[in-house]
Amino acid sequence: MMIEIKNLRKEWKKGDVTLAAIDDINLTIKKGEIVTIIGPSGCGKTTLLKLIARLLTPTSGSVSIGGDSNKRRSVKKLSIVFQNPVLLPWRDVKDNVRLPNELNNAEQNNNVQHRINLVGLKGFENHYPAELSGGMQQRAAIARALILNPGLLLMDEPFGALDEINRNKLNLELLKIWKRLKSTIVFVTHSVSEAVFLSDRVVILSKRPAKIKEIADVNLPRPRELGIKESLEFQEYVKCIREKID
Amino acid sequence: MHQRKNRLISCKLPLLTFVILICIWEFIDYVFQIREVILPNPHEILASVLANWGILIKHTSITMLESVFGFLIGSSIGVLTAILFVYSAKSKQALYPYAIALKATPLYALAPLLIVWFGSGLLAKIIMSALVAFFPVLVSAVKGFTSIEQESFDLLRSFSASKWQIFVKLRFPNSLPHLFPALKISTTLAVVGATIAEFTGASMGIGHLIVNASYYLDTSLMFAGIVMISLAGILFFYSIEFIERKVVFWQRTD
Ligand SMILES: Nc1ncnc2c1ncn2[C@@H]1O[C@H](COP(=O)(O)OP(=O)(O)O)[C@@H](O)[C@H]1O
Ligand SMILES: [Mg+2]
Repeated sequence: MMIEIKNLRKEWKKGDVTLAAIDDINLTIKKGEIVTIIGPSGCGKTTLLKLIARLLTPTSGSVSIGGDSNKRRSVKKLSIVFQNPVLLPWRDVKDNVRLPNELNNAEQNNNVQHRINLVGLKGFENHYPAELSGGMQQRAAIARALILNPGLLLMDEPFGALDEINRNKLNLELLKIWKRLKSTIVFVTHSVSEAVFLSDRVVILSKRPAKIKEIADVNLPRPRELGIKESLEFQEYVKCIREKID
Repeated sequence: MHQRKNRLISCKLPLLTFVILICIWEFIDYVFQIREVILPNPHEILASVLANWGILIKHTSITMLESVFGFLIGSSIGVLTAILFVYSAKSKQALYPYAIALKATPLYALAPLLIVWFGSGLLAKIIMSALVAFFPVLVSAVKGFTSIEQESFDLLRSFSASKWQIFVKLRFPNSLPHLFPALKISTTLAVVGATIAEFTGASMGIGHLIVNASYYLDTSLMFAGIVMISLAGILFFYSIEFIERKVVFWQRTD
């Protein structure tokens, strides 16, 4: 789903002080593209993602998703994955994944099993979040995000709390899922290597208030395997982008 | 299997404590020859329980009836008020500080007033019970409905959840681990509330029986009454705990 961000600005008001988090961001994301957003912590990445999700209203400017810029969130169009899995502890994996269906009165139970298999949680359907490792919890969160076939997947440092091995594994699987479902992905990360590995384009943000400092195209061939990280070309991209981050 | 064994052990030790205490009590009573009017022996109390079984059961039932009704009414109103506070910030600001203050106030002092207003029937006792059961439930329900990560709200809102859905699928289940400990406290408060109201003015109930027995210096019967209402209160407490174990299976708070 195409996203058009125009002159986007977001201010936080604390008493008399206004503090700009997002300052004049213009960005167009093509349908089916993977764009990562990278920038120093506290610069406004989460704020930007929430603005796209319409969980926050912009101070000025607009975000249109699939040509639809009205203020209301439209059903089934987008899903978010946060840094924390945000699973409901009183629901098992199957019921957590099913949650979006319930909220939208959609009955697609086959889809539930399919998505659970897709993220590699087959056999854990009846486990409760407390019984799963961090990586498995995040897999469940991804399965939940995929349940309504969202055209747009927003991911806010989804693998930030995972160790290197799990992170690589999930990066790889995310690309496989993306290939099958063909959704647009906006992915926030603070790992340059993760950004290069996943994206078509890397958007580098400045310190707060976040402005677009530079947009780097990543022209590595797809499908990508983990081995690609050893290549000179990959490391060249990483070096190039790292230098531009504040 | 292992767990059952553990539970058996955890039953055995308190039982042992009980037996030892009874023995010490009997021993002291025997050595110092304390008169029954001052401190009856455990076996004299037991004899009194057996001799007065019929009336003890009758009066205990009355008190428990008042307590259970008071508890149900008080805690229901507590939960409903908490819902009001969650959805109306103004009413919460205006009233919540008093709710917290009253949670720690001995509301039992109101018992004589309630007897004056509502007579010496069951109603005054039920109101007393409800009143003391109300505040702990209110305070913990508010906590349970609101102590939720922003991300959880964002998640549900990103799936276009309505306010009602957010309540049913997030706030309410989230409140249960907070609510049940308060409900358990409120069972005991409700029993104390009913009993104290009966001390103040009643023609039925265990409080009435104890006061009456004191007029006749029937200390054994007073103790028999205390034993009966304690057992009933414990039963009440553990029945809520039983429900808690079934309902709040995902979290242990104690
Ligand atoms: N709800 C809020 N109210 C006020 N300030 C906020 C709020 N959310 C975020 N901020 C501020 O906005 C800035 C950007 O935050 P955020 O988007 O979370 O950064 P990032 O995700 O890049 O680490 C920070 O300085 C933060 O303190
Ligand atoms: Mg963030």
